[in-house]
Amino acid sequence: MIPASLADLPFPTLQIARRCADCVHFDGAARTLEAEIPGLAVMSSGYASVRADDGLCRLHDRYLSGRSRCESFEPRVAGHA
Amino acid sequence: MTTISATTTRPDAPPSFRRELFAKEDWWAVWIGLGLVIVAVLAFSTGSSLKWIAVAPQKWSSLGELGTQLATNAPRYLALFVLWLALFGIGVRSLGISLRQFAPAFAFVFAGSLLVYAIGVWDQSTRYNLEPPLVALLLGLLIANTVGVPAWLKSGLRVEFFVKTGIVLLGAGLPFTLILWAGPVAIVQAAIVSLVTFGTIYFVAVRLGLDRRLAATLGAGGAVCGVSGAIAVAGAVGAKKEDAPIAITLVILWAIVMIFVLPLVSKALGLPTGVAGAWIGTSEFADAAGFAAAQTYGGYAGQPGIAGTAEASVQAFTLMKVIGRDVWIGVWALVLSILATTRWERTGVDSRVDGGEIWRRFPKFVVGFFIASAIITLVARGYSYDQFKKVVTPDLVGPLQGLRTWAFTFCFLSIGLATRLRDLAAAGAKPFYAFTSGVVVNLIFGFILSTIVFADFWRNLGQPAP
Repeated sequence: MIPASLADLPFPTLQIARRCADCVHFDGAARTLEAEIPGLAVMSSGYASVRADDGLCRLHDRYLSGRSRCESFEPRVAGHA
Repeated sequence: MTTISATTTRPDAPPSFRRELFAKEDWWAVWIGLGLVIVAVLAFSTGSSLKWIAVAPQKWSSLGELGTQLATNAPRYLALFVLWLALFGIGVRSLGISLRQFAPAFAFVFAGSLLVYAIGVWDQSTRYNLEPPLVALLLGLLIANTVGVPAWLKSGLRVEFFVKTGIVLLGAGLPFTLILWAGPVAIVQAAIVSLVTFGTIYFVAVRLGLDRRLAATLGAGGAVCGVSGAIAVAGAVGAKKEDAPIAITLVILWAIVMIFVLPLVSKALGLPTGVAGAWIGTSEFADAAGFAAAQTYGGYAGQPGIAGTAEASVQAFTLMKVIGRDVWIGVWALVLSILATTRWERTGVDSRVDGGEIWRRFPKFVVGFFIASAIITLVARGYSYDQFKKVVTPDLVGPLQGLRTWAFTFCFLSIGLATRLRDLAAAGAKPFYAFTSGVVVNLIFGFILSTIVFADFWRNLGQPAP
């Protein structure tokens, strides 16, 4: 059964679900980053290991690790069934 | 029905290691580079070689001679193109880049690289200082900043993919014993310069009133590994969106300046190739730019007043840059993320810091570089130095070095074509002053350590039986 909202999730699951990488405001796609960060692809790459799971937070306008967390977390909607 | 991704994944678990092996450019460079090394070793062990496909233009003096040469070897060049297209094509396709877009773009890069290669072996090229890396860079910059690069070409300009693959192949030409012998010195020299450079940039930036996260991003760009260092630390400390582009602009501009300045100054001073390579490895900012400078200087080997081999320049650069600086980016990111979390102003976002950061950000292509070196060292252990030069070098190491030169040439041309100056972010005066102060300090410290403190060490690099 799929919960209708975060409130239905068991507490531990809710805790681990708050990672930026799973937030609707976060974009870590390599192609997007290469397009939005001028020069990234000139002498480095959006697909490089050094970038780990970093991405752009559209809410805070920051480039940060996907393992970060904040109070404004909103889970990403995966799709419709 | 709407589903929530957070309910079906374990976000705190590390990304699947197996998935990462095929989702990062670094690993694809490892697969391609090591794949070629293994095939070369298998061919060598059966009395064959990759010489046929590792074709390259030979010295020529007239266009007619060059034309004849290219026509004679046309099937080999075609096979080489198909090989590279297949290898890089599989890689980019796995990264999610359209193969349909990449293939024609790479064909252009290959043709341009062939042109650059041919210019480099013209018998008058030395007279006009037409070193292939510089020709590739200038040609690319000229096209990108005048007529411009069409959109279809951009997907083929995978600078980092090419240079990482070249570095893995370079491992095949660098004995593992040499890495063990020279690695500690490279690490010590690089550590001194990196710490001083980072400290200078960070201190000046903060004194100028810049945000600490921007200061750290600038510092990593100047001290560790250029654009990759800047983007890694920006992510680790949670920098503002505009911080990384500022640092990237400054890294690119200074890196391009240094591609020309470092070889020319080294040549004017008559530095041995190993010494110049070490200085370039200490004072260049990005791998791709540094290889362009080091290979350029290697091309001066044998000219009056320039001692050492062409390979010594690239080898010293690699030891200094890759082993001395690149591999430590994860440590820098970890330390700076701890500082950002515990000492710097809050941003509203909590970073999670752990030791895994070191491996997550480790430039994995270095793994391939070490393995390639170990494989060739094992294969060559039964040969004397003379036998190695007569048998192993021409039939095994030579073809791999030839393929490496192609990968680097793709990279050098792509740097120029991808660098459209007006597209870079505006950096501003204060970041420029901060970064430039680090450039000056870096150049001076790098020069002193390479040409005075460790000069004997770098001068003798690559000599038999160290």
